Amino acid sequence: MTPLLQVENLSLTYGADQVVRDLSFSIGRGESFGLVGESGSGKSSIANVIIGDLPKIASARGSIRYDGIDLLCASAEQLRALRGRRIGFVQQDPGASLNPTMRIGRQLLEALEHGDASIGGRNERVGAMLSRVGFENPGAIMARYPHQISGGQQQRVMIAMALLPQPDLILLDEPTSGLDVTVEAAVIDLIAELRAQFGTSLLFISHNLNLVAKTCDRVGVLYAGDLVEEAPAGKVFDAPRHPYTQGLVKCLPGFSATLQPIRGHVPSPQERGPGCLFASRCAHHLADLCDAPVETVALDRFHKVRCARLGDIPVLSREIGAPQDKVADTAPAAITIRQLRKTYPASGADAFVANDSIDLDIRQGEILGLVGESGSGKSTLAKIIAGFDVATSGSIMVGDTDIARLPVRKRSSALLRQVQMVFQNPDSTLNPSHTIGWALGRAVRKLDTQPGRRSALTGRVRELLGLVALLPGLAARKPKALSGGQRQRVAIARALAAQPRLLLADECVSALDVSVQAAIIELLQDIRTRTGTAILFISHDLALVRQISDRIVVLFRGKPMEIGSASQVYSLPLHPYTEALLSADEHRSKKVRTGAVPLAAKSVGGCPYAHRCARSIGDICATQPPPYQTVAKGHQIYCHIPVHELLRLQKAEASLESKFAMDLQETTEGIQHSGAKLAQSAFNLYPRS
Amino acid sequence: MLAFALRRVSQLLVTAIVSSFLLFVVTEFSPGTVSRQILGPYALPNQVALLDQKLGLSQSLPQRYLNWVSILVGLKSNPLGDPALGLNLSDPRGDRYFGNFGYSLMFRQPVRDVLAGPLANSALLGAVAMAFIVPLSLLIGIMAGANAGTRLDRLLSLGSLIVTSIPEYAAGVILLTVFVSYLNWLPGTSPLLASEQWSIASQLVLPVTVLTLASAGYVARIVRASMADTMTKPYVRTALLKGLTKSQIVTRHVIRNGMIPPMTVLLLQLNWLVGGVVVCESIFAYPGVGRLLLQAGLFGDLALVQTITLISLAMAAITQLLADMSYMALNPRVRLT
Repeated sequence: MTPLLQVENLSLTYGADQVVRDLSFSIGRGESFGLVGESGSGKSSIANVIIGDLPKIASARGSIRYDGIDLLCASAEQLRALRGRRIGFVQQDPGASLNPTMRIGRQLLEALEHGDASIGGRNERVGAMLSRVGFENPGAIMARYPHQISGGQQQRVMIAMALLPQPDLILLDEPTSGLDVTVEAAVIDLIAELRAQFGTSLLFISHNLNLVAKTCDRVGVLYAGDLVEEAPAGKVFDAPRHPYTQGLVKCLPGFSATLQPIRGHVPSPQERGPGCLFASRCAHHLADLCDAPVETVALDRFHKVRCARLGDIPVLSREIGAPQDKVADTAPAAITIRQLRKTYPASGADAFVANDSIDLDIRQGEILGLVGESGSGKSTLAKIIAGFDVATSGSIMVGDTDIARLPVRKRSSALLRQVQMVFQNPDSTLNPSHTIGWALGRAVRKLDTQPGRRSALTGRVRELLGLVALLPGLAARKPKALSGGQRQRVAIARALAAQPRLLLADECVSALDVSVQAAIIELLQDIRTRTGTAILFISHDLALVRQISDRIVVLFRGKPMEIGSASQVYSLPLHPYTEALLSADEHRSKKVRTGAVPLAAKSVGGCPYAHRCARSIGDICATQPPPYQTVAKGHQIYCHIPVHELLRLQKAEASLESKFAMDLQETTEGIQHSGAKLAQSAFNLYPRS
Repeated sequence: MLAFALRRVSQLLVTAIVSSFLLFVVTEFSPGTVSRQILGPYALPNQVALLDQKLGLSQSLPQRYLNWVSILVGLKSNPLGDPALGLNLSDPRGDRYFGNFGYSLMFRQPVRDVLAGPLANSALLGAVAMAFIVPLSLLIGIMAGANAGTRLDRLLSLGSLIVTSIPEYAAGVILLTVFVSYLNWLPGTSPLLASEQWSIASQLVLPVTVLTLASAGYVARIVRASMADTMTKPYVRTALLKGLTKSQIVTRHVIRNGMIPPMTVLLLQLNWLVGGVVVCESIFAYPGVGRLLLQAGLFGDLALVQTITLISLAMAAITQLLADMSYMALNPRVRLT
């Protein structure tokens, strides 16, 4: 049987720049194929060339056959007839992909316009599809505008839109980027479920190797427009053969005790030669062999690798192990937060509670991880500490000064030096019209403890660049000439100019590629060791937080649900919310109650998680604030249910689940929650409970 | 929705009060004392002093502003209408009524009577010009923006740029030369008096053309920029990926979103058309508010200048309110918050 989509020797150039080189893959009917690659790998361009929507300067060679039709030769009208009806497309950023001024129902109906269903029938079909993607009240959703539903709901609408005309193939271009972990898990579940129901073929494009491996039958790894490896999903993790794929797997948090970033950078289109494009970053590089064009080698029917030295590349060995805790339990607090509360006025009488009576110490020289969904108040807390916002009540003590209600403009320079911040997006943090040296020099002049002469200034700038492992020559460059990772390093160097006591890192790696992410994490840990700066690391990426943090705070609607050392929280997540969060991240078969974070407006005084809690024990949860229970030294949970009862419940579920463990072939190492493991760790921690 | 409207209206009132105060201050500080201006160069000093006192010019500025506003809303009578002054000014409506703008010294009549005709004429000119500006600029802007980067777009953009950069007086003179001097198709002046040769309609052609040329190109460029920007939005790509045709995409997804930003600019044109078309009205001797403003300014007719400016201010505030309302109608995100 011929495959549904067959791409053969596809090359794509934008002007003189080669974006995709000699690419071949195919997708059978009902099959799902994943394309993984970092930014600049050309993965989105591949989706665009299939759907026939490329910029004018692009030119494509090779062939793309879809059900017998050559898409590269098809007329505009032929392509339009295929779009939607035969080939569906789900874009990234669902919020921007829906027309803000049109009701959702009408936008969905448009997808059916060219079908044969009657008008009334169309309405019914839309309603039915909405309930299949998990909406309980389709009629109400159809009457809404996109901004009135949450991001996860928006993406479900987009998926419904793609599925409505019942296409044979759906292209998903980063469908979950920008969504919360729990929402992402729900969307991935939905995609898998619908695929099983409809038998639709999928091309899943993502930078996230984990996600692709979970969703797809086969995975192709793209590097700088080259398909370097193609393998069944399991093999990409277990037996990757291309050095790049191996490097990518080693970058993933949770793979080993320390992340191993890939050195170097992706070659820009101008730097690309005829040979292996990974050569400049490859430890196995051999000048003569690798710089000549490389053929793809088929190891078996499904596993193909494009590497000239395949025979010499060792099989990836996994050092399984979790990072060690490095908590300095006794270290004095760098900053002490007490009863911190921040509310925003909301419509009606109730206020929106962003931070709810937070008690927290950030100790000197520790990395404190702050996790939670969006809307949980993570960023609000960082903003208040940094002085971009002021608290409603409570205190934040830095030394003898309370900074909770002290906006940044009113802080003395001595205070400003104490707390510095690294922002999420390095592209917009640096002024594009000044050089790196200027930006750092300014930070030094404004914030350095020992302002000196001009010569001392340049020396200090060099020193800062050295601290973040950048060459001094970069000082003369403008931000545009730097890569994303380099820019983030500069942003970190800028913050370090003040030699701060506390560094706030709010999602500081989430805009970066996996391989670069790993390097920045490594850098932050190194800086902590060398300078003794405490770091508040805020992220929605649980694995990443686990990797870097000594201690972890799990925030839900502004309230810490669980506080403990990284190993305590991750090996034995006791609070029902932490448990749900971690299982969503590992994406196990267990169903997690998900959905948007409802507004905290209706706080009735109980546990904020009560309404979503799977272990809720009744009215007490919703009406009375639970106590902080101490589980072990430094490990606290905010819950009514006694610790031993939580343990018993988890154990009971885990043993039930282990019976079905045979079915769960995916990512076994990642799952440390299997019944035996859990019982064992529980026993180790609490021998008598 | 209602709360929003109420808030906007109260903001409008604040704007009106502040701007009218500023206007009052600026005109009060024009050269020469007010009384001297009223009485003329040959008045005796004691006459001037009497009028000063009568007008309350020795009072503080806020007090004088209050007097002025009180006369305006009909709480006080206008001291200039006092027969004892011998200025021979009288108002058929009585000396206290709402909307009393005072006396025009140039015409020796109440400002209301002086202004009524020109205001109607300007409104006519503005309405006819808008009837051309709106469809023309939208059509050009949407066509260019929806086909951004194509030859059609470059042609339309260049055309509107050229038209915009020709000043009103140059356009007026060129049109006069061609259509009046050479071809003799149209009248050279537009006094809005029907004659045997030229109907009222024919007298409107040239002024309307000049205004349309000056404004439509500019608005079209704004519309084009907004449309072109909207065309690059991901939801437009969603529409494309659904398999809609280009015209379906533009009419359903682009126009409404793309019209949100230019709405304000479009309504500002209205503002300019009533009260601001000094050049065009002067060229064609059109009896409108713009020409009247020029005359009043040259003569030093304070009350008339003040009133015309006040009307312009009111127009500006009202058109902005309309812009906000239309913004709300077009954008559901604003509507429901």
